[in-house]
Amino acid sequence: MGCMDMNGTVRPVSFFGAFVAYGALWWLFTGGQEDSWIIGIPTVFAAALLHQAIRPPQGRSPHLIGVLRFIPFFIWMSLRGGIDVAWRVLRPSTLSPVLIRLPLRLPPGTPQIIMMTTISLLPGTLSVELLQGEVEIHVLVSGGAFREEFARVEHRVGALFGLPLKELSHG
Amino acid sequence: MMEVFISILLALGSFFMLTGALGILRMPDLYMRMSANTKAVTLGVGLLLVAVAIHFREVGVVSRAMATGGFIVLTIPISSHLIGRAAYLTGVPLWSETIRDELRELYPEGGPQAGPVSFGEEPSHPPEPPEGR
Repeated sequence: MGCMDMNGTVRPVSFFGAFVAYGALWWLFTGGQEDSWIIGIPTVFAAALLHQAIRPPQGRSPHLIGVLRFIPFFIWMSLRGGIDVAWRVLRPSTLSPVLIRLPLRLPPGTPQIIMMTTISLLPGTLSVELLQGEVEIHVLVSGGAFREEFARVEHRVGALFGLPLKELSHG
Repeated sequence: MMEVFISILLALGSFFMLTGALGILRMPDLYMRMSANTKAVTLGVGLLLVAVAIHFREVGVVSRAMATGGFIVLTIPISSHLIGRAAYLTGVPLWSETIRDELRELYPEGGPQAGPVSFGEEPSHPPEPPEGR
């Protein structure tokens, strides 16, 4: 949960901000039913407390424009991932799995976590381990263009955080 | 017409859920089962939620469907990563036809040596030398 500052960067919000935001979500989810607030207020209060307790340390935050561009890409990749894997399940003879380590150029913290999450929804890849500067992935089909796909996703995740793209696009 | 579209979405969503379940039965090792299950189930649930949102077309239902989809997309890949990682570190065997294993030399018996980065750390620092040297 965050709010936007003048640079379009999402920053963590205060307890009060979180309380208001979770309250708005509760209002939306319950369709504005008044008697739901008997449970709603304690729940929203607990959610805001938990939000303060477990929010990650201050680090890189995604840019709003990056997020808006990333969501359709993410949905498209998830769609392809699902269709691809359904095909592989029905035709297991096409499988030639490989467990491989690839260099990761994104900085530690949120960018790497988002990268790992996205890898697991890509066609045929599953993130297994995050090491310093490297990532271990399981690939269902060794002959495919998974390296190019990986670089493309890394590029996209970099753009999400406004990280230099030229540096990410080669190597 | 809309009913037909919703029916197609529901059928497709159920099909992908089914392939996720089939993947668990048919895939030869844990990584491949996780791989199949993660993607197929995420897509299957996503399609079912889109169908629900289109069918009801109310702010309350659509927002709940979107929130459910968001939670699924956030939690399924992370839990599958953690299961895959736990399997790797505890030495769950790979399918015999899996080609390469570049981590093997990095993790000899006795656990990780290279200091894997755990989620939430930012940024990671190299291990500090012992005090009093």
